[in-house]
Amino acid sequence: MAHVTFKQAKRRYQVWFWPLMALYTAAILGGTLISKQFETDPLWFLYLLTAATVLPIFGVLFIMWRYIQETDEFTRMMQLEAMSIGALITVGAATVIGFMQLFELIETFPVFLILPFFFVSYGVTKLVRGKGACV
Amino acid sequence: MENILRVLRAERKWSQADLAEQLGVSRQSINAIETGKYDPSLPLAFSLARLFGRPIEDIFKDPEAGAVEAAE
Repeated sequence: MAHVTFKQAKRRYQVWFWPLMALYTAAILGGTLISKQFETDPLWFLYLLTAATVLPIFGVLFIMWRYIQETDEFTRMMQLEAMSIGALITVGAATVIGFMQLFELIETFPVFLILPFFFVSYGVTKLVRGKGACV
Repeated sequence: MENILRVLRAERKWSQADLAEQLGVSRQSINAIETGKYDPSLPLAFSLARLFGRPIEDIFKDPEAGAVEAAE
């Protein structure tokens, strides 16, 4: 891999992040609007909506991985530490929710919320650690 | 690990951002190294040594080296 400076890595991340988030928002809003046109959503539409929503998210996950590869060693360490703690909090929370479902304390839990929950835990960890090694 | 990075930088009137730019790292990295919160890898330590024209051991002080010498 060619050597990339911290600034270049950060720019490469940001150049892709916002368009991908815009695509994600457009998919959610557009999907909701288009869905109103159908009496019952056809299966092909639901598959298309799933793909349109998930692909930008996969794109964000990819550019996060690339940023970690390309950024400087200190930022990489801070990012990985925050991600690890965020992942541990998420897995812990998912386990609690899973057992609550098993013991019928709660009905169902929307699984797609796990990813935003991870991003919140990861972001809060970065803020609490306060090292400023943010994207 | 203790270091004299802040002194070397001040001698050249460079800000943390200036030094970070020359090394291709973040300003936060320089701050973390200067305050002893982070020890750089060997490649980064060599880059610093090259930039300041000094051997690595002039820039970074091993806090345990004195104790070892005293014991000997």
